[in-house]
Amino acid sequence: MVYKSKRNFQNHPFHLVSPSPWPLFTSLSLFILTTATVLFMHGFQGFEYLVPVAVINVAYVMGLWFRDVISEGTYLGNHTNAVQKGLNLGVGLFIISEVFFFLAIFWAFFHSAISPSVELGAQWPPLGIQGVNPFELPLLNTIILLSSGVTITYAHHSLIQGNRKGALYGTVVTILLAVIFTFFQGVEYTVSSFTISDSVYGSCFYFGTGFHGLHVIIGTAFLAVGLWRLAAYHLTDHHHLGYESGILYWHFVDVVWLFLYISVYYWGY
Amino acid sequence: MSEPLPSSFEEHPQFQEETSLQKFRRRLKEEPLIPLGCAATSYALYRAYRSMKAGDSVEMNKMFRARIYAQFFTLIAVVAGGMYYGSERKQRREFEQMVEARKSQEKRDAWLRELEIRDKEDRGWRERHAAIEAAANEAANAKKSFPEQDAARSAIEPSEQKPIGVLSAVKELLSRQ
Repeated sequence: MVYKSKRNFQNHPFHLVSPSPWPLFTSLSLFILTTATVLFMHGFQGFEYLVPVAVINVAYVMGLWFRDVISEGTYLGNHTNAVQKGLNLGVGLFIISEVFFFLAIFWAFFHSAISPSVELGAQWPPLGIQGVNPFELPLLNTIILLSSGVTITYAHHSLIQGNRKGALYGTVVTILLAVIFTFFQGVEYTVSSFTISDSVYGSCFYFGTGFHGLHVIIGTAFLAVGLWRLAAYHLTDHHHLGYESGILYWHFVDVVWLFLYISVYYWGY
Repeated sequence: MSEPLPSSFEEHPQFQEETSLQKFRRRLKEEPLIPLGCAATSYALYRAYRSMKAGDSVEMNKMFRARIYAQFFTLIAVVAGGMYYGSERKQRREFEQMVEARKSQEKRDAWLRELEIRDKEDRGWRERHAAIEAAANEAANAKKSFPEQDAARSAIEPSEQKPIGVLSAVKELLSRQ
């Protein structure tokens, strides 16, 4: 009897994960995505259809994996304080890797922008390229994104104060602002006078703003999952790691936009 | 050819053509609040990240707010700087466009000169060639009595130094080899 009941309790705070197919599935779907993207970029026929399929595949497997993580945290009680510490560390490392990812993009931009080569007409923006006026749509987008930072901070504040309504409304408004931002970026892309293949300016512009836009979309999904979990009573004022990570990610994406706005739009104009 | 610059630019030595590094430094000096605001924003985000790692949600929220204040400050600095330096930047842009137009005009003129020289050379060559051909024709007319001889060749290579005839031509060919 004593032996049996002892087996039902663990005398350590850690989460020993059960076997899961998702790491393998994620690897495979990422491999397919990479292969399809490389072949598509080298002009192999038919891969323009495989790329979106692969993206959906990656998102789908990620959804299944995070569903398991949410179940473990919310319903199985596996996310003890010690486990939360580890998850926080993982989120932190992820954000740091993102910082360096964008650092590389900015490096590429400044490499060409600070010392424009003779092929560019020794000027920035290069000869014949008309940059986007920073005080038109980009300024509006900057204000929209900064406002979304305000609303998500309000939501975070409300959550840790135990104000459910404030947290819900704050998150809803943030997601709406995020969607508006993404829409306006799409508008700007369609009306801009240059494409991704118009000199290193076009490449760096769409490289930076495109990946930022992708991060906005991912951050929107991140916050949308947090909103759903708020609405479904998954979160408490003291245990809301996924939601808080989403908020930190959102603030990070907003700061990246500040740097993009100042260096690519304002300084590069 | 090169137009003089308008007098409004003369008392602005900063309107001289500058290198990219000079431009970078000038803009840093013009608007030092922007990099300062960026640094403050990044520092606040870093502090928020540290608070998350420490598990302090209240401190994290404070740092998020600090991040927003710093970013708002930076944005105001950008907009205010854009307004303050707006007319000067417009002037600079006009100046740069003028320099660009002047350079392209100079380039075009240089090309026209180059093409004229080439045309002259070409015409001279044609004249010389026509003269040679005329001389060849003349020589062929003079030596009609030797139809087996190539007219143009006989004009270019003085024929009186060589014996004439099929046999000697074959011999000469063999000796060349």
